[in-house]
Amino acid sequence: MKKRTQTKIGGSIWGIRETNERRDALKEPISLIDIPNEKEDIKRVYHKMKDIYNEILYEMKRVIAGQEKVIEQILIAIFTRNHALLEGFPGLGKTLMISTLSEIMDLDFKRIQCTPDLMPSDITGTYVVEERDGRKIFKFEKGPVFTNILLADEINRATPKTQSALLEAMQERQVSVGTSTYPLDRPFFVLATQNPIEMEGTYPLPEAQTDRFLLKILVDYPSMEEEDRIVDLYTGETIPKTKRIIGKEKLLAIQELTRKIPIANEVKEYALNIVTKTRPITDGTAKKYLDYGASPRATIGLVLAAKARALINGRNYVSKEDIREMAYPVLRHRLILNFESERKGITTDDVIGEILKEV
Amino acid sequence: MNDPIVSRLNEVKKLSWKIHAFCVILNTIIVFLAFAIILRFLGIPAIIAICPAIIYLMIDVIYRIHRTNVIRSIVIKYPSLNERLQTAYDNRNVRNIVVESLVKDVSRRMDRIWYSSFLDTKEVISRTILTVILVFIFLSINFINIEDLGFNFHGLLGRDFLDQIENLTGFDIVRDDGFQWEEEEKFESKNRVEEDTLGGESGGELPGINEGPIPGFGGGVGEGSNPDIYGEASSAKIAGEDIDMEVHPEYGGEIEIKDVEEEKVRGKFPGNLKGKSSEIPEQDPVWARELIRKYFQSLQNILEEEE
Repeated sequence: MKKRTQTKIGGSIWGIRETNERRDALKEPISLIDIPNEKEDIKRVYHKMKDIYNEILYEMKRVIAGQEKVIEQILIAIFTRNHALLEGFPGLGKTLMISTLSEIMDLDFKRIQCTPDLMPSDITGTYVVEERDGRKIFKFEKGPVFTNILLADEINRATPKTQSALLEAMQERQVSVGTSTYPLDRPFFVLATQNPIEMEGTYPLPEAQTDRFLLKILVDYPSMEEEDRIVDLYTGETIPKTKRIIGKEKLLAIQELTRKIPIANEVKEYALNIVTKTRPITDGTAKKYLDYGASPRATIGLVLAAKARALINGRNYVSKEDIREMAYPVLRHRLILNFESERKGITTDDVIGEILKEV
Repeated sequence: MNDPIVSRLNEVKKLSWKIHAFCVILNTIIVFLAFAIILRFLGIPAIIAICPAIIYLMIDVIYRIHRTNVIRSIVIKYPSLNERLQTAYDNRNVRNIVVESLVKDVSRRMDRIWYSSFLDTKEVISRTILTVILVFIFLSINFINIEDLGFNFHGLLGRDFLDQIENLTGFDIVRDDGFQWEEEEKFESKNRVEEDTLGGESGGELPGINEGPIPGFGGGVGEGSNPDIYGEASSAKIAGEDIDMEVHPEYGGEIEIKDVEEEKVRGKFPGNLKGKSSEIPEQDPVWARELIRKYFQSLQNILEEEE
């Protein structure tokens, strides 16, 4: 057998010798446990993150067949303390997916079925007259927005006034009624769904509101095998049940951990370039197909989503692959196509794909 | 601050520069040798090749300074460090559980880095072989007289170009060994009989210039196998002007300057006459040629009178 004569780093070749500092650094590797000011629950969660994610996925698969990418993206939105908009045809399990997640995470879950006659107070809550000790007083009756996970089903069927009632709740995580302000529970997510069909009588979400959703997740039809499993799951004697994997505290720790994932300057620049290229100010794909590009909020969202993706994939750094992968759900609802591209049937995903090729 | 990463990167950086220095020197030698060979073929002194070599050296060093990225060079050799190393380096001032675990991970992976992997063995071997070959060629063309092989590289460059090189560099370009310009042909003997009779390498019948030890047998003129018994092309310099000078053997073997001095009074020569050997005859004005012709006519008359 041939003996290797190469010298490792720290050895000596061409006059480079191992320094004392270097030797000390090798002997005493940095302790991961003794980092001051690092919360214990964060440390615990970090070391078990991959297992936690796998367990969540396993439990979800007991109820949902396939749709791994959708589940991953919903979790990314939750881990980044953001909201997601799910779009897909009826009957694809969007609502089931979200309610199952709330069960797995032991979170309070509420659902609003949006209709044109839904009032803002139906979401935020309202003052009701209550009789107490013979006196009539106004009491604030909390609406469904006071929960951890709020599912706004078919959000585009609600009127703009009702939709905007969600704005403050989504952005500020508080509700103002009259002169009083009520903070919302932590964690708080709005997961809204909308159908791409039956657009008559709907109110497309205003740009300001769509921008507040970190991701727009497209729920597609399941494959034949997945559908076969769905049939087996829901035509049997028992309806599948899930168990709790993480609680609120762990979830908050994961959210904190997500923001600690480091990102290289080069990768950050890559994300910036992608978002900048969506703005139709310079010649290129954006000018050709778009009327409006993504805002700086999209850049923040893209980097955050990439961090969350890195975390759930068990990586301690963000890669360009994360950015590329998250560019679609982060940008697709933030780009406004021009008439020409709509006429040609070009979708925002097509434009994002072109931009990714350019960058 | 993540010192382990920074110190390791510094180590690799030092090593990288040593490798670059080695490659630059090797490349510069190759450039020098290549140019030296070309110049030698063209009859230009090989030392001029040091100029392109120095220019190449400077360009290569500047290019490498701007291009060298230690992290990138590590990542190319060790793809498992791709993005990890850059992230750890960019976040070297951040201290949290994730960054620290990344640093530990990167440090562990960097332990597996081999110094020798940064040296492109194939490239070094190929360049070393090329250097040896070039050295061999260079030495060979210096030992073997390439002019004997019948190459006329001067013709490719043109005389004006060589003159320019001469003026620029100050070096005398060798172009007499077998390479003769059309203008130089007039300095050759007009027929071979002349050289045979005046004496060449094998000796001649008539006394020639610097006649040999045995009178009447010639033998004193000529150098090597040069067919021109008068050696290099010559011109005379009169009053600061270079003029062509043809020496006809039938006028005799020696030019006695003393006689010329005597004739100077009759021949209306300007003062301070001096002769200068030159390799390149220059274009002379018509009046100078006429003057020379008269001079030699007078000289011939004197010689005839003496006989």
